[in-house]
Amino acid sequence: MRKGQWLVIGMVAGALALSACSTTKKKNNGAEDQMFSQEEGRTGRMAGDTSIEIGSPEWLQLRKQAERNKCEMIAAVGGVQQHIFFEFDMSNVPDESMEGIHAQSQYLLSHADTKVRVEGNADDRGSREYNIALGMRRANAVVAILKQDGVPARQIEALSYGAEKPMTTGKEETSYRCNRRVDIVFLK
Amino acid sequence: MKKFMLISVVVTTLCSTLSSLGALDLELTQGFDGAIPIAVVPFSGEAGDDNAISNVVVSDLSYCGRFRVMAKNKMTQLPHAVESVNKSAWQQLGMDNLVVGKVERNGNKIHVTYQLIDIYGKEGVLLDRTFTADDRNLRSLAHHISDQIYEQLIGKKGFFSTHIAYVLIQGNEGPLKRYNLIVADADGYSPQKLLVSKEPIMSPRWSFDGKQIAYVSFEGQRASIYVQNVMTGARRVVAAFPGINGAPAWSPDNSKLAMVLSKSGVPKIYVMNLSTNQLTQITDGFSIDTEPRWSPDGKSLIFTSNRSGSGPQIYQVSAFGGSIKRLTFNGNYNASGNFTPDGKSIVLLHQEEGVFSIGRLDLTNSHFQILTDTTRDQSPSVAPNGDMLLYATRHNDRQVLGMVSIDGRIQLRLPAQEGDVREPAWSTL
Repeated sequence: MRKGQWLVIGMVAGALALSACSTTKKKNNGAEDQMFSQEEGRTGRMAGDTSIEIGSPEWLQLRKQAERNKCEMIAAVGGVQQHIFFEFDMSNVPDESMEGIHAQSQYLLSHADTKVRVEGNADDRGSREYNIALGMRRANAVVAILKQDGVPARQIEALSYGAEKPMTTGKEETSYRCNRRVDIVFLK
Repeated sequence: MKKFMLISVVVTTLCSTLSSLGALDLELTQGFDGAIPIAVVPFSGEAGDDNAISNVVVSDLSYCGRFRVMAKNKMTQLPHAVESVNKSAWQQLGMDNLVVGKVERNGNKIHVTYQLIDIYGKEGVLLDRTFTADDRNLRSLAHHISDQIYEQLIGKKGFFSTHIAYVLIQGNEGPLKRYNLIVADADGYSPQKLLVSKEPIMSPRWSFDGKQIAYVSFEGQRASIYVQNVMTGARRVVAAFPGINGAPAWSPDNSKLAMVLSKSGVPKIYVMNLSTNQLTQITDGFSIDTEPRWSPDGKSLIFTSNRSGSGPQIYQVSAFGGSIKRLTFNGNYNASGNFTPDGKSIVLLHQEEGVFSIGRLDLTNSHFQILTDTTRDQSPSVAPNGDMLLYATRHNDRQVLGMVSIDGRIQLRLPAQEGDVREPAWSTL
């Protein structure tokens, strides 16, 4: 057999492989879409409340709260005093977390010898260094509130762990949400 | 026990090998049909184990995806020199090229001779080389032979003698978790620990002379950039400002390190002169700027920024600062840009509909191509010859390394035997 014949066979095989690829090369949906379809398939409805339609605003609100509770529980086991959770690619502090941060400010104002490290985190999707920057933005957003409350800079340090210190290692939106957070860690 | 608890970081030299971790087994997940048929006959005088020269050459030529390497049990004759090669027999087996060789021991010295034979060409013997080695550098010699064969048949330098660095994470979340900075051969063999820490290690980058690695370590609950000598293990802190000290990148002449600092409050790109430690701020404003990388000519930097408001995108700026040009417009997530060695393309991390893939943007015609079939990719790093790139991905719920050719036609997986592997960096030599 000569080289020329090999080339022809190679081209035919290549064409076959290409046509096979074009049908099998299908990408997954986004992580959030996958989670929704899985949950609907498994439970059908939110347990204990038959009047709420899956996917309705009330359902979304309840589910968000349930996720937050789960994250809070995991954080409590980890011994972190205060944590603030963020939306994807966002660094603005959610309204419901403001009260807790102000409470930390009051404690720090009345305990001038106490110091905190404000640690920013991100979920582990995407660029690791960009996630470091996102975590820093989140930490700085919380530091700004502490400072506005009058806490002196010497009582605060800020750090970003990016995606390097996840609270949970799950690969679905509930876990990602727990990992997009700021921890306020009290230092001795 | 107390003493043990105090030691949170262990710096090691290349003498300490990793016994618990074997090689990263290379697994070709997608080859292409233009592969060159080649037979590597077992050399005479070889033990026939994994480290035998002919076996290492077979492994190299197989995993790079450019060759169709004949299985030993299909061979009808086992010649060791060109004189005893029956070309028509190999033609009937469909081979285009043949590698034969001999290994002869003389005390501690090992003499190795090999020939690369073109089964069809008039020239016959394309390469005929002899080496003297010892047992410790037989694998290196085998990689060198693979490089010569690759260059002869493909027309580009091989990458089998180069090295990779990566971060290996062992143990679950908690006090037993360990971050290891590992250096290994390009095929994953001879993994050695440069640093072991209880705190995260990130962003290892080889200097262009292959002698040093810059990385970020969180030891002491702060992020600092270190530069470590690979052979001696000696290291020094080059940046430990408040906030982020991240994403180090060597200039092509090794004299400077681009980096990200947030000492002004916002993550910005800086360049540090390594002999004077003098810092120059390259970007400003309120956006996130990160992941600087030098162009091969050292004249400009590319970096990731969210300055446009439509997610992270890749931008280019002169190495001295100044006006900034946006390079990526395809979708709303492009990050982790790396130039190819010819400076004509950048490989990058691209996200679309929740799928994170490695892509390549041709800067000469703006053509954008997705290279990988995997969906949770990160951290692309290009081989010094520009033919392949390494990246981090997920497989069977573990973090592993993947390799893909620059045209996307060849895909490989390098699964670690223990732990999660991330942030690969290919050496530049």
